[in-house]
Order: sequence, then C-alpha cells, then structure tokens
Amino acid sequence: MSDQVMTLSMAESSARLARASTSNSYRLKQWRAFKRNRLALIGLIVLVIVHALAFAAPWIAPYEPQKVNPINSLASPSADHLLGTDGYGRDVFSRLLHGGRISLTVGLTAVIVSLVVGSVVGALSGFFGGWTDTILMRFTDAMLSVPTFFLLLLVLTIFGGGLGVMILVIGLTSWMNIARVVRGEILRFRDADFVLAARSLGATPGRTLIMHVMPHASSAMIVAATVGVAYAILVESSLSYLGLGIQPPTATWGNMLWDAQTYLFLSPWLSVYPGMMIFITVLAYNFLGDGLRDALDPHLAK
Amino acid sequence: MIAYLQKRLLHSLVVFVVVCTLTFVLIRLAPGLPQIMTGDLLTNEDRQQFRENLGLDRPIWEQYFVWWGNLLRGDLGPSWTERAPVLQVIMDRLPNTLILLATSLSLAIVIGIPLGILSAVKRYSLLDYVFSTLAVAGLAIPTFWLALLMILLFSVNLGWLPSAGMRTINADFSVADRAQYLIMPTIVTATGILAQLVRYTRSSMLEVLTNDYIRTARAKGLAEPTVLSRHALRNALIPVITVIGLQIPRFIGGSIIVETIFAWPGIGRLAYNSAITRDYPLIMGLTLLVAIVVLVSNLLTDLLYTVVNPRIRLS
Repeated sequence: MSDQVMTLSMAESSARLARASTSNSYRLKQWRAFKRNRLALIGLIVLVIVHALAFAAPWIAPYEPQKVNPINSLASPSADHLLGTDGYGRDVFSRLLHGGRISLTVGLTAVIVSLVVGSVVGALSGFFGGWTDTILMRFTDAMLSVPTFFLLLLVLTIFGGGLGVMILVIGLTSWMNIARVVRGEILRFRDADFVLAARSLGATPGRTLIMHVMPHASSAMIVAATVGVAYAILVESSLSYLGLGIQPPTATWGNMLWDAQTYLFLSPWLSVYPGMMIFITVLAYNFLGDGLRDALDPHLAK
Repeated sequence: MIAYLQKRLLHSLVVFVVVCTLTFVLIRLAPGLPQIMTGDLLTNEDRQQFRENLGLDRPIWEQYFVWWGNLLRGDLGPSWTERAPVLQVIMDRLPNTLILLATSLSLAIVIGIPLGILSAVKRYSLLDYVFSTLAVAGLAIPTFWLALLMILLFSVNLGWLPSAGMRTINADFSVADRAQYLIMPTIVTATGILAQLVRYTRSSMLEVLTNDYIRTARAKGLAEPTVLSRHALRNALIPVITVIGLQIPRFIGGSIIVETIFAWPGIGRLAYNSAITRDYPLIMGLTLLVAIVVLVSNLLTDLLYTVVNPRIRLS
C-alpha cells in the first residue's frame, strides 16, 4: 500500500518535473530563436530605452516642457538646451521626452482596446461558428475596407482630440487584424482532442474557450499586438500632426512636427527630431514583431 | 458566377447603406456648429435662419430620408463652404487625385515587384537583407515626416522642386511644369505601397519556389530565367494582385495627409477641409464616393483574382 502511494507520488512529481523542464526549455528555445534575429534584439533594446526615457521624463527632463521663454526662441543646440529650443523658446529635448510619454501611452493603450475588441470578436466568431461567424466576419471585412483615416478625421473633429477619445477611436478602428488572427488560431484548436476532453469532463463552452482554447492564440495575439502598437503610434502622430489629435501646448511627437513646420526655413532641425523618434520607435516595434513571429510560432512565420 | 456576383453586390449594397447611415447620424449628432454658422457677426436669429434654410431644424430621420431621396435623383446638395454643388466640387477635384493614384501606384508596382522578386531569388544575400530592411523602414516612416524631410531637402535647401500646389500659377500648361509638382507627392504616396509590395512579392515568390513543379522544371533542364519567369512568377504574382487592391483604402487615407501637406487640390485635401469646417453635404458626398470606390475596388480585386487564378472556382 505505502509502496503504491510512494510510486504514485513519485510518478506525479517526476511528471511535474518533466513538465517544468520542458516548459523551461521551450521558453529557452523561443528566447534563443528570438536572439538569433539580431534586428529584433536591437528593436527590443531600443524600445526599452525609449520607454524608460519617456517614463522617466518628469525626473530627467531638464526643463518644464510647457515653459515658454520668448527671449530664447529657436536657439541652436547648446549645453543649456541639448537639442535647442522651439518657436516659443521651449526646450526641445524636454518636450521630446514628455511627448514620448503621450505618444507611447496612446500607442500601448489603444492596442489594449483593440486587443479586447479583436479577441472577443475573433473568439466568438471562431468558437461558435455558423451565423455568429458569418455576421462577425462580414462586419470585420466591412471595417477593413472602410478607409479608417477619414473616419478618424470625422470623429476627432466632432469629439475633439482628447487623450481618451484618441485611445478609444484608434483602438476601435484597428482591432480587425487581431480578430482575424484569433479566429484563425481558434479554428485550428477548436476540434482538438484536449478541447473534446475538457468538454466531456463537463466544462461549459465559455470555460473551454477561455481556459483551453484561448491560451493557444496568445502567441499570435502578442505578435499582432506588437505590430498594432507601431500602427497606433503612426496614426496618433499623423492625426496630431494634422492638428486634430492631442492639442497644444501638451507635446506629442505628432504635434511637435506640426509646430516645427512653421520654422522649416529658420530651424529645420526642429522637424527632424520628433519624426526621428516616431520612425525609430515604429521601426523597433516592427522588428520586434517580426522577431516574435519567428520565435513564438514557427507556424506563423512567413 | 452570376449568382456569386449577385451575392457580392448585395453584400456591398448593405455595407454601403450602413456606412452612409452611420456617417449621417454621426455628424448630425455632433455637438457644436458647422463653420458656416459660427461667424462672429451672426446673430442668433441668423443662425436660426440658417438652420431653417438648410433643413437642420427638422427631425434627423426626416433629414435622413430627404438625403436619400435627393441622392436617388442624383442630387447631393450644395456644398456649404465651396459655393457650388457637392457633385461638381467633387468632380473638379477627382481627376487630380486620380493622377496621384496612377503615378504613385505605377511607381510602386514598377519598382516594388522587381525588388521583391530579386530579394526572393537571392534569398539571404546582402541584397535581400538590404531590400527587406528598407521595406520595413518604408512601412515605419511616417508619411508626413517623409514629406517634411523631402520639402526640407528639395524645396528649402536645394530649391529644385516646388513644395505646394500642382502647377505654376499663371504659367501656360506644360508637362514639365506639372511633372515638377507631381514628383514629391508621388514619391511620398508610393513609399508605403512600394514597401508593402516588396514584402508580399518576396514572400509569395519564396512560397512558390518551394513547389514541386519548380523542381520538375529545373530537373528537366530549363534555364533558370525561364523557370523563374514562366513557372514561378506567374503564380507568385496572383496574391500580389490582392495586395494591390487592398492599397486603395490605404491610399485614400494617405492622400488626406499628402494632399494637405503639398496643398494638392484633390479629394484628400477636400476631405480634410470638409471635416474641419463640418460641411455636412460635402462630408456625405465624400463618404459616398469613398464607400463606392472601396467597394468597387474590392469587388474588382476578387473578380480579377478568380480570373488569373484558375484554381479558385466561385461558389
């Protein structure tokens, strides 16, 4: 009797051990695959630096981003002002750091909105199939073919470009890819044996979906979300550049460029820095997304 | 085929009605006033007068049905800001945007597809690495920043190209003059599309090259150029057609930015102006145009896809 218990618990613990070590080596394998993609690794490092700088803006920015100093406007870079000053004499470096906060916040939170909407639509569509699927996918296709930028333009002129409105409208117009990806992944696993097992053990459809099927879509969701952040940052900066996004004097990378184009002749550099920040950040997110795609799910690799 | 077309047209019609209805309701429910009613000299009575003349004092559902009724008679109403019928305003600008679409799409196709093919054929070479990286960069660069940089370089510093408009005012028509104004908007618009095409052509070509019939073609001793052009390329370009079709909605969004920056008198700039001045009839007219263009281009893309790809049979 005690022998039997012994073997059982031993078998159990060795199984647990095996599981732990496989999951470890699985993650390790993914990390190694990711590291092999040098561009993705550089992207990750760049993003860590950009996010850290933006996060720490209030503590490391040498000046208040809104502090106007008309006597010292359009100053060249100097020890006092690392990147010079803009048309109102505001410190460009400080504004870049603070602007990054807004741009990155919009990018990251808009993606959370689109992740929520996209995964709900995709999951319902893929898991339940039939009419639900037809209607939801028709809707997704329709949304994909709407030129969202014109829609955004309208919504923002009506509701104004506050932070919350921006996040919401960008998120609500960019969930379609995520929905499609999630639906695809769920279709792959919906009829798998482990799902059947869960169902026959009495799990409700909702529980089966969330606990057993959705985790398999997580890799695909991470990849789609990474690329989504890049897209959201681009859209936010375009709208702010057109004067429809976050309103001055609050700095974002987009509206800094809108300001800067007035001084194209006098201070061309003002037009370079914020654009460079957008470009580098978006590029890094895209590289990261490519790397994650290859590392997390070979099935997704193109 | 006919049944498929009917089904698709019906779907398109539903999407069309939904898009128009949503836009209509959205702009009417908006707080605040259209620009036409916000002049400082206007009294409240004037505003009330405007409201009555423009039919804005009626219930929304009534305005909505009036709009559809007029539309069915081909009347989009007058633009509030352009002092001309909406249809005429749109038709005046449409050719300018079509020119931009034609030049940038051709540029993207002529450069993007060969680069994609080259990347795939020379996979993992330095060339492939450079093109692929450039393509990612092309997708990541903000359109408006690229436009600003080009203006900075070619207009401000070098003085080679004009930064705004589409022709020299008071100059006689000449192709050279027009071309000069067209160069920067075309390049800026084409960049994103081009980058997309390089990526898709490359991955599509790579996929085709792994097929058995390619190996067969090589095994029977065909020269590599023949294998690539006659056997691989034909199949590789099929999905690329879809991607080109998908660029149309993207182009419309991009044209709003590009035309606003370069003061290009086209549909994109008109869309921007109509939105900020809240010119309701013009917004509705543009929504209509955009919806039709997108739906038609989607339909054409799907049809073309089935024509060039005999493996797909419509059901």
